[in-house]
Amino acid sequence: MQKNVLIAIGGTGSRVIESVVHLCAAGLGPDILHIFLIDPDQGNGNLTHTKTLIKNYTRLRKLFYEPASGNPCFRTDIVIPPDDAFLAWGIFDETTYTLAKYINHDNLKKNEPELADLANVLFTSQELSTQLNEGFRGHPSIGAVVMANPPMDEYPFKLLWDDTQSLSANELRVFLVGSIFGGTGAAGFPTLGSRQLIKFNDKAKIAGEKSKVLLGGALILPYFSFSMDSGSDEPMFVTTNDFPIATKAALQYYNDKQLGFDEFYFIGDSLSQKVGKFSVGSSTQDNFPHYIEMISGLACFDFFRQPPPVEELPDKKYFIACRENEKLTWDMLPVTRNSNTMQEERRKLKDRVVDFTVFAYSFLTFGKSILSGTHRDALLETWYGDNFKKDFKEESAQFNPRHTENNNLYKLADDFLNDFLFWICSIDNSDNVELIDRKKLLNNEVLTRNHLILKDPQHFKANIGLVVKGKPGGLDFNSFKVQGLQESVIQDKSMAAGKKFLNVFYSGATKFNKKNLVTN
Amino acid sequence: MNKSPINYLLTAALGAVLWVVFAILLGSYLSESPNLAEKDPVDLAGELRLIFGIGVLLSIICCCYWFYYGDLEKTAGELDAAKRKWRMLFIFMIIISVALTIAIVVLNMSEGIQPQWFVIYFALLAVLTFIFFWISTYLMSPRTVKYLPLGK
Repeated sequence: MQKNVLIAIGGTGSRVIESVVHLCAAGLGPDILHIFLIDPDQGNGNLTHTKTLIKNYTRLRKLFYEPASGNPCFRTDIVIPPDDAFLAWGIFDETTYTLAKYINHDNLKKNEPELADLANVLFTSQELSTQLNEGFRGHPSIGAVVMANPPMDEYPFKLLWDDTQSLSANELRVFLVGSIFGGTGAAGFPTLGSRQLIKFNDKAKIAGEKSKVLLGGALILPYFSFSMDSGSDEPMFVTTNDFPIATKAALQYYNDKQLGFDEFYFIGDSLSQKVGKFSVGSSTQDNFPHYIEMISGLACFDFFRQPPPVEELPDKKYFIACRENEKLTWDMLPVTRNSNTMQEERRKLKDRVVDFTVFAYSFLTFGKSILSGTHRDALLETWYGDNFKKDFKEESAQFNPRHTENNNLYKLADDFLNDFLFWICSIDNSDNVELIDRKKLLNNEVLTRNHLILKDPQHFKANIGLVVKGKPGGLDFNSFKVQGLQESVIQDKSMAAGKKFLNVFYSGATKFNKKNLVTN
Repeated sequence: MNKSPINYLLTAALGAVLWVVFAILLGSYLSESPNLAEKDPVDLAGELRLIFGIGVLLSIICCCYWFYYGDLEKTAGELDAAKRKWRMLFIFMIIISVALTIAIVVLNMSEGIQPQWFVIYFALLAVLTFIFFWISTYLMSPRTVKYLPLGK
């Protein structure tokens, strides 16, 4: 059975994982997906957030996912290393590491001065002495040195090789994702993608040029910009002006170097939307999500979906997808390389993302208001009565959606769905992106994580039917209640009330969107 | 049963059946049994048929209005108001039954009819008005407002 492993390298990698997790939550991922991250900047805001998101996903999935329910949300079993601490490989044991310390530069100067001189030729004194706890600051040459020998027998890399003994050729699908223009991603991508590290690792080799590993990777080309503070006193960092030069150099390198990749995805964008303020790293590097990260996630799914190559050395094939103009619409998203299934896959993507958006929005507003009231008051609502009246028992978590035992599920759902809405609304950060219309969902113009102020659908009744940009459906919140929630009666008595409550809202969202024609 | 036009038709049919039973089948008994000073029992039966008819017709109209209102999608967004509306209609039906009973009393004040007969007329009018309204809306309200009638 095929094993799928996704390795995210650096800040951009973390952000792609954020998109992957949200797409999995919407029901678009593979059945099982192993994930881990690589970033020396362990305090990086993007990384910290993504780690929390993955953990929330796995916790929420345990409580919410029900294979028999037909609800595709959270169907992907995201597998992470057993100890949360190993979810991300930090490269260094200490926080004050420099390149000089890593290569033992002081000792080299005394014992092997010729090697020390070589290091001095290859690296500037600033590169040797800059602390690396906030990443490689756009200097992949440093990262390539320190990432060349990852501990393959320890987590998180052990996750890669767990249960792979019985796999045949190409059944271990490994997908690397990182930026080409920064520091950590640009360093880690070719290093981990080298032939000997993963593709033809002793654990992967079968015979000759055969390997259990089918290695793919998404190289993220420049796609965003950020605002700079003029008074930055950081010693060494990369700006958007450096991106094209860094990209060109890296692409030349990849072209010359024989790497172990079977498949590459090059993904970039020329709109250069702003994703926040400049930061060299640490907690302040917490950028807004961008649609390119979602596309990178889709590339990852496309890679995992491909049938194994039949020939040992297949001919090179090139697939190209691009925007037709400055606008990005649902019809332009590159969801698969297979033209026969393109329309179907695009439609599925739109269906699932819009359904999950309406689900998140309706639950976080109307759903929570129902839960905060009493059972008696809620009984006015037909959908509530049909689902919870007959078997209601005050003291039973199985039949009472307000029972305290269900609160943990609601808390996790609250956090995750807020994150999802933040993600999908952040993607709508310019007039050129025509996917979800954040103005219909949010009251606050400025987006801040965990501080989404959602428009109350009971006051802004039309908004729920207008969440898809460019396709006004016309149905309003009353229709959502009548044609969505009211038509969502779940008969499964084995389903606990909390889970049932959430499922009613998801089912309501899908039915409403179908009627509203936004997912047709 | 709660889908349009089934609920409209069933309500009209039920109202008609109740009127036939109370005003036609029981009409002779209800008009001939009380002691009347001057009035012909046939005249009293005619009055009862008319008054029972007004009662049941108003009930059917109220039920139909409730079904129409409950079928509107906007009602889903104002369930508290809908509940108040049902109560008002229900109270209106009670007032109608009392008013129609008073009408029977006024029309037959000089006939010396024993008081228990007015109680019986009120009971029958209650069945034809607010009880009929309650049963009909309890069983046949549109889905959006199905939990709003009393006791549901």
